[in-house]
Order: sequence, then structure tokens, then C-alpha cells
Amino acid sequence: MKKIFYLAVKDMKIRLKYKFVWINMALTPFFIIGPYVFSSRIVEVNSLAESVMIGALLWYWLNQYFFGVGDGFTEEREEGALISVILSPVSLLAFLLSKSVDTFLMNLYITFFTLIFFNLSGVKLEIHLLFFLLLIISGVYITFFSIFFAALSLWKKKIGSINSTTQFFFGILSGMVNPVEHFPHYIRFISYAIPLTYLISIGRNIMKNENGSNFISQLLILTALSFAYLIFGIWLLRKAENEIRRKGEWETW
Amino acid sequence: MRRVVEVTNIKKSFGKLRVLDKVDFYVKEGDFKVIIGENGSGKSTLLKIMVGLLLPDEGEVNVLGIDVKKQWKKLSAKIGVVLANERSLYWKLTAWENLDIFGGIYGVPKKERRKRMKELLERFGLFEYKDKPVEDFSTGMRKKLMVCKALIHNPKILFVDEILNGLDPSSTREMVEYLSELNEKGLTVVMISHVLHILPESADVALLRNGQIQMEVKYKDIRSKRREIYEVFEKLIKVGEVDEKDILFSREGYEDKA
Repeated sequence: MKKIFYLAVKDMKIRLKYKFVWINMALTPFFIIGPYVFSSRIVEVNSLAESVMIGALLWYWLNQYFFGVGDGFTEEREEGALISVILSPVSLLAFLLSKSVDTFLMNLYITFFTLIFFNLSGVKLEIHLLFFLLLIISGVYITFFSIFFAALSLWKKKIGSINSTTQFFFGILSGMVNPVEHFPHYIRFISYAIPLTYLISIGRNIMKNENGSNFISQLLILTALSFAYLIFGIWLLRKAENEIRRKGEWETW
Repeated sequence: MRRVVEVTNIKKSFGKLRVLDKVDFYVKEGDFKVIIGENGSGKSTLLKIMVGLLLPDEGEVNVLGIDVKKQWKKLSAKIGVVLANERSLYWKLTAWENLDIFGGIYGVPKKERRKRMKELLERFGLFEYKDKPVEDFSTGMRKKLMVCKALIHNPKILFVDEILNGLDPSSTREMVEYLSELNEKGLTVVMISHVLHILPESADVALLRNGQIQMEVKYKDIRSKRREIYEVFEKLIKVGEVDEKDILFSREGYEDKA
């Protein structure tokens, strides 16, 4: 745990050196997901805008995790410092978990400002305890999913190049703006393999103040699916580690 | 003295290129071992195998009683490694922050860590620059900081890859003196170097050539002979042997002597 803490502190310290990035992080999500949310207001149903906002916000969380955790190895490899972490007693998994802590804190910061900007724009989300619980669950489970992606791109470097495309792919298929029930059967099959799909659905249920029993089954599926990704991700990390140790490619990308 | 590094019958190829071919190599506790050889002779490959970064195709690697192939992370807490890559530090962070983070990662308690950070930075004349980001450092300063980082957790063995390249004469001397001083205090040092004129008297030199350790000699035994040291090493590295008058022992002779 201490190793994860120190690595997360390191990421935060580096981030603090770039003052303008904080402005960027506070504003950009609003501008990225704003068009989706504001388009939905054309029909003049506030709950639709809020529903899209929940989806888009959680999708943005996934984006940040895919950049922070999923791209964690690539980023530090390019900088050159990854080798020092690899040479230390820190495991690859601990390294990714430290990236996840950093991303979680960033996501809280981003969400705080995004909600303020939307509130000022007239799209108000009722914030209560369940919403924060959803964010925490999202942080944990999307971390698991991102670990799987990070392992995949460590194992096959080229996969890292389609990180952004993958994020949009997941965004659309997980029902960010359009509930997955509206998709054809064969697409829904893919949607249900994406943890974000369940998070968005649970988020919307919470927003509608629905009874917890409505989303408990989804939470269970989400939990099982996320742990499956984590287990597969850890297995893949070990495989990638041995592969890189055989090829000597710690410093290439 | 017990053997702290034992490399047995190591083979390593990259594609069709055989880099190491049945390498046997050992380092005893307290040794200052310098591996020399031409560019591309496999020195860094051998070092990376010893620290666990690389897996050999065949053979065994045992460091401090640990099977490096299987338990390289366990080993990592007991050794310090300085690679040639200056980018292995976090350039946006200051020297102090770098050492603090790495000390933390290696589990050095805060109080002890701060004390050690101060000592190391002072030893290398970097203390007054401790709050400067590494990106503002010169090559020499970065290399010194890399050594500080590798020593922050008080390792039993220090592996160093071409740390002397790019250092000015006084920094080179300072670095060698410090490594020598640490070695005298009991730290085992395994170093790869092309800078050969200023090694410690106590160093043992191992020549890696044609994928094998072809010769091991005492540094002082080469240095005390008739020719300029560079001339001797140039021939040694290129041809794999030197005139008898320039060198005292063959690998076998050295081992007998050791």
C-alpha cells in the first residue's frame, strides 16, 4: 500500500508542476460532454438531459482511467522513468493501482467543476449519497477494466494506439446517450460485456430515485464482470512481464 | 568470501543474434568487478540478466541466494541499479523529490530516508541544488543523482551501467572515488565501463568477448605494466589478448590466484 501511496504522490507532484493543466481539466469535460447534454434539451425534457449527463460523465470517467491507467505504462515508458519503477520492488499491478488512485482524485476534481458548470447552465443533477457511492464504485470497477486494457497494451504495444477509439467505442455501446435496449441484439451482446453499461444504468436508476432493488442485480453482474476483467488483466500482466523480460523491451514503445 | 552473484552457463539470443554463449561469471562479496568489452558485446545484456530485467534463454542466475529468473522483485529490494539512461529519473521533480519518492517506494522509513538523502546529496555536491527540477540538471549532475537514487535503500550490491560516460574528468574521479569508498566499506560493485584509465586499484576486470567472459584480470596488474593503459585495453578488447608483459594472468590463472 505504501508503494502505491508514494507513486500516487509522485503523479500528483508532477501534475502540480503544470498549473494550466488544472484549468484544462476543470473546463474540458464540460465542453466535451456539453454538446451531448445540450442536444438532449431540444426536446425540453429535463430528465433526458440529466440522463445523458450521467451517461456522459461516467463515460468521461472511463476516458480518464483509460488514459491514466490504461496508458500508464506507455506514458512513463516514453518519459523513460518506467524502468526505475520496474527495477524497484513495485509490481506492475501496484504501479497501475497507483495510477488509478491519481485518476480517481482527478476525476473527483473534474466532476466537481463539471457539475458546477452544468448547474450554471440550467442542467441540475440531484446529488446525494448514492451518487457518490456510484462514483466510488465506478472508480474501482473501471480501474479493473483499465488494468485489463493496460495489460493488453503492454502485451501487444500496438493496442495502445487505439486507446482513444476504444473509449468512443465503449461510450456509444454502453448507452452513454442512447439506452442499450434500443440497440440491435448483436450490439447489445457487446454492450453487456462493458462494465460502463451497468454503471450508467445504475446511475440513471439512482437519478430517478428508484428503489435499490431495481439495480441490485445490475450491481452484481457489474461486480462479477469487473472481477473477471481484473483476474484476466492480472494474468495478462504476468504474461506480458515475462514476454518483455524475454525480449528485453522495457525501454521500447 | 561467499559468491553473491553466480551466473552459470547463460545463453541469450535476440532473434538470430547470439549475444551471450555459455557465460559463467561470478562476483564475490566485497568485489569491485568491472565488465569491459566492445560495443554490442553483450555487457548490458549480462547486467540486465543479473538484475532480472532480462530472462536468459538458458542457464541459471543467482544473486544473494535468490533465483533471479523467478524472484526478481524480491531481489530488487536488496540491490541498487544504475542504468545508462538519464531519463530514468522523473525530470519534472526536484532531486529531493526524486529521492524521497524512490526511498518511499523501497520502504526506507521517513526519518532514515531524509537523513540518507541529505548525506547522499551532500556527498555528490548536489545538496544546494536539491530543490531544482532534474530537467535543469547537467548530464553529470543527473548521473550523480542516479547513483544517489540507487543507493537510497542501502543495497548490498550496486550494478552500474556506463555511469562514467559523459562525465568531466573531475566528476569521473569523484564518482570512481565514491564507488571505491563504498566498496571499501563493504558494498559489492558490478560495473560496466568504457572509461578504464581511472578504475580503483582493487577492481577486477572481466572481458566479455564473442559472447563469453574470455578473461579476468586484476586491474592493478594491467595498470602497472609498461604501456599506456588505453593502448593495453584497446588491444585487450579488440583482440581478446595482450602481450604477456602487459598482463599477469589468464582467466584460469586469475581464478587460481583468487
